Amino acid sequence: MHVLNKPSWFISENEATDETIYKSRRDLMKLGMAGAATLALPIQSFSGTSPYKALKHTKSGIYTGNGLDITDYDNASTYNNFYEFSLDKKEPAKLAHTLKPEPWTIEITGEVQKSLTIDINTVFNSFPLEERVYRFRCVEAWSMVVPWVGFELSYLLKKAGLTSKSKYVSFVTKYDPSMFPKQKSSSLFGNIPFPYREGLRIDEAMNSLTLITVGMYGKRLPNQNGAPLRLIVPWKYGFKSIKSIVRIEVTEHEPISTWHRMNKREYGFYANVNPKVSHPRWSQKRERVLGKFFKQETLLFNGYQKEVASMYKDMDLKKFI
Amino acid sequence: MTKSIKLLIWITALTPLTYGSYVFFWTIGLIPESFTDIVGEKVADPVKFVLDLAAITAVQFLMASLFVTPLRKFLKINLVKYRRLLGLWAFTYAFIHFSLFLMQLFLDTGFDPESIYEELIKKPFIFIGLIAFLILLFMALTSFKKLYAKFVKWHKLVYIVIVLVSIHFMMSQKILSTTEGIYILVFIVLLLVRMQIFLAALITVSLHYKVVMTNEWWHLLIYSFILISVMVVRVWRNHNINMKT
Repeated sequence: MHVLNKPSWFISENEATDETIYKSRRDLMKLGMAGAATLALPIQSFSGTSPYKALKHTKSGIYTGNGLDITDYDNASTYNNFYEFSLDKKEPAKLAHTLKPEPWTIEITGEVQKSLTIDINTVFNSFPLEERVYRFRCVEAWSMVVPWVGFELSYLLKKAGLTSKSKYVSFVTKYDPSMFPKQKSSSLFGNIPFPYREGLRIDEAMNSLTLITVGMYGKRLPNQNGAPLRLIVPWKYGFKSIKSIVRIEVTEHEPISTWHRMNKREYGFYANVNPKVSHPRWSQKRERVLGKFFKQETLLFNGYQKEVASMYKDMDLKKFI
Repeated sequence: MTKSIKLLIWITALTPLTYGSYVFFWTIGLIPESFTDIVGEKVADPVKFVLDLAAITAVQFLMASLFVTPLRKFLKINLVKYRRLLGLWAFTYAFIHFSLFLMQLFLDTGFDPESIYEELIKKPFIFIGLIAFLILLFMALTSFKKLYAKFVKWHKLVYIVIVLVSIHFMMSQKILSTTEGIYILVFIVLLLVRMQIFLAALITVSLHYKVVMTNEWWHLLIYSFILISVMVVRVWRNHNINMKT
């Protein structure tokens, strides 16, 4: 007889609270506790639109951002972890002018039927670009909601053609200290090893949620957000969503990912957003959405369990962090 | 002279408080836009901004108060009469840092005791900070004349505060920036000149743990240099003791 073993974190669809009910309940609780009503309101919105070139794209029918407050452009573009420029989050926006997103080519190589080299302008002009509003959750317990413009990574991988040895996908950020000054001169107390690398299992890479992104807020990516092209894996912590990609390699074995290599105990290869598995130094139960005063509860797989939970159904998520 | 130095300390102490509250209230929209074209930039996470600002200011005042003794010893500059003021400002900023953290924790968890226990006690990062704060609280409360005379010996606990604060500080960062690292080095030096070799070594080892994560050989060189100087100081001290007897 086939017995289905449900993992400890399994939540059936009908058990999950409807998001709108859940949200209004939280808001009420907070209103009551805060006393001062002003504090429960979202922080005064910033003005600001992207100065970058507009991108031709369609809008996603599913990820429209319904029920989500889209983070202000100014916040999303000035609060960046981009250690190739600085360890400070405000600095990349000021320093990233050295990055030259054109000319740029992306190489797809490794265990594929045919390697490809694609010019960034081909991506801009002839790839099926689509806008999707995703939650983005950093391992440092802050988050934002961003309208990304990109295409499914699976589109690119299918173009190159998978083989029986295509088990993992590895990504590398461009290495060029004239564009990314910190790649050469690390601070006195070190930095992460460069070039930055990330990886996904092939089913994660082929999942329809996984995007290669070339824009946000309808325009091309700001340099500090990983221009000209970056990965977006919305159910994983932000450090998985590698920026300024220059090479994508399909591999047979689990590839290196930078933070995992730095500290295996704190940063797993999978790095799935999971409020039940805390970071050794801080809890992952809650997150602060940029621009909000109160933290909110973090959702399993960042709220994308419907799309991704089946990929991990036989895995102990406390072990495979 | 005394008065103007005291005034200077007060101005230095009130600046971050003023600036921090200004940016905070402006960002959450309680200061009208028309007032605010003059200075500052808005921050994406105002709570974290104030937490960080209060923390680093507390560290700076703690450091300043600890420089009083070496300055007197080695440069014959006597600033002892300002030490209490400096220490109390260190405590004040630690208090702002801690109470804001606690307030946020209470509000975010809806006063749920289990979550509060989990975040406050079970996470060493937070717990270490909590202990450091409690020691500072004790020192602040016993810094007044009568009690001070009674408890002055116990004020050596500040060395433990240095260790706890350094570790708490390092744990709050994914990677240490140069500025942050220099703060830690200054703390190590301050312990060394007081012959707190063991405590200095303790911070050094934590720093090493943080630094070796980067896999760069020249960081190991710095680390070894610190450890060697620790040993040199120890030998030198033993030598001096032997000379006296």
